[in-house]
Amino acid sequence: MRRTSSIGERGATLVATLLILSALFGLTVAGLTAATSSLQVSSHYRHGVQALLAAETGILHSAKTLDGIGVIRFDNEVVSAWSTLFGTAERAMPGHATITYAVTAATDATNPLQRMSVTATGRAPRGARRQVQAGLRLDGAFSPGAIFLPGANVDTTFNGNSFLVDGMDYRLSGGLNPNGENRPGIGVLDPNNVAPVTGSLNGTQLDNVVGLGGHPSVLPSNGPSSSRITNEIVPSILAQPGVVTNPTIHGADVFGTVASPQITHFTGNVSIAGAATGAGILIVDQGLTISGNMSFVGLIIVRGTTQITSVLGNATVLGAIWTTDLQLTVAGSAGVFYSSEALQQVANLSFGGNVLPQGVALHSWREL
Amino acid sequence: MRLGLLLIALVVILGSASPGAAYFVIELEDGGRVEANFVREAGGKLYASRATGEIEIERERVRSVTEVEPGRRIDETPPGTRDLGAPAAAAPGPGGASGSAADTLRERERRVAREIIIGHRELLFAQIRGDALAEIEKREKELEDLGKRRLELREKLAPWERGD
Repeated sequence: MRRTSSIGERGATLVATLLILSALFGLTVAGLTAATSSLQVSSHYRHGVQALLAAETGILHSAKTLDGIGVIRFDNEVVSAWSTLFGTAERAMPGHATITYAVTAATDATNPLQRMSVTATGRAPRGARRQVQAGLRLDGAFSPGAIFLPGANVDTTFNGNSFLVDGMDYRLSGGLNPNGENRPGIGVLDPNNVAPVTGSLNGTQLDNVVGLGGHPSVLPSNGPSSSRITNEIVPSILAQPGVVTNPTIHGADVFGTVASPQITHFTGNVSIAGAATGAGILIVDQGLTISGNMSFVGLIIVRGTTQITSVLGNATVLGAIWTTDLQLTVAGSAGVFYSSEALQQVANLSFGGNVLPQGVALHSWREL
Repeated sequence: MRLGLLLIALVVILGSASPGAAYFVIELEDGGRVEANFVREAGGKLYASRATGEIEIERERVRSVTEVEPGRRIDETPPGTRDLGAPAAAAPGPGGASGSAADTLRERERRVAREIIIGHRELLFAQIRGDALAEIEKREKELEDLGKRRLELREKLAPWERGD
């Protein structure tokens, strides 16, 4: 018997089919949307991380730049000169042209000489942007070597075997400084000067210059240039109160003590043939010749040639020597031993803490 | 006969030993003292070889290393100090593995000169620390004695330096 459907039910299958298809379509769209969103979220997250890493790179890059050249005071030496010292232009991450960072600098409101802040903005594709702000502080005086040669051309002579130039970081009280940073025995600002200095050492003298990197420890080392030493650092030192200028050399001379350091300034050539002791900062505008007995704790800056020619005597320096040229013709004995403690405590803090270039360290870090 | 040969052998063995071989005294920062037959440095540590074995000492604990010359008792010796960065031994001279007499003297003079340099450094440290006057004077005396040793070596070297 043929079954007949009611008029009301005609087309119900089509409707149901359309409803089911609509539901399936909706689910498909939802699924695709979810997948696409996940990809977008993942992509945005990745670019956000890239931007953050770029910002952190900017912080580290700027801090490392300042640490290498040494800073006496942040306000007028760094912040005011930021546009030429580091610059605010965007820099691309190596190998990733679309990931960049830019760094700005600001003084610290409470301690503008010894603290500052840098803010780095990192950018990545899809408009990703992250900002990091870090606080920097001065981290103690240093020298690029036990002996530092900042000149463009250096002339070094080494005769005999009775000398030792040691870039290991010694404590004032003796022994190696576990918190110190070892330096080259001889640091040169211009890398092209490594070969001439090393070449002036004969085979038996190679282990007379020790420190960072073994022996001979002669390495390129970042630090103040000759012009900066002459035009900024030395004038800053000589502007301190109590500088002793051109003291007469008697033969048993005292140029300050560790307990009471002194800034001593010779405007011409000086020759020390007798006995002398000293502590603080010794500045010689021309040449320094040591042929007698001398011990010094702190920093010696010689704008001419440093000659140590002791025949029977001994010269011992604990701290560092910065000199244009160097001649060691030692029949007696001579030792130059690097000590960041001597530089910081005797040669820097004793005169206010802002006379010598210091390293730079991070002391705070936050994301903005 | 057999006993006699044994006794002779013992005498030869004991006689051929080197009781005067140089040895080292290591003084520690905390006042301790270690004697060793041989001292070497590696990886920031000092290794002192003794008959009973090898002792490892952190470099930071070491105040000085003194080499005692053969035939001298430690309390008689005007000790020089050998810094851990003491100069490497010079290459043998043309005379062969043992080197010529002049090379040996030059190497000894060089080592004494290095001990003098280190001694002056340690004296400066002692003065900065404010060590007792007796300790300062002891160091100055050691340096004076080292200076005399060096002069003696230079006098022995003089004929070679003059080309005699």
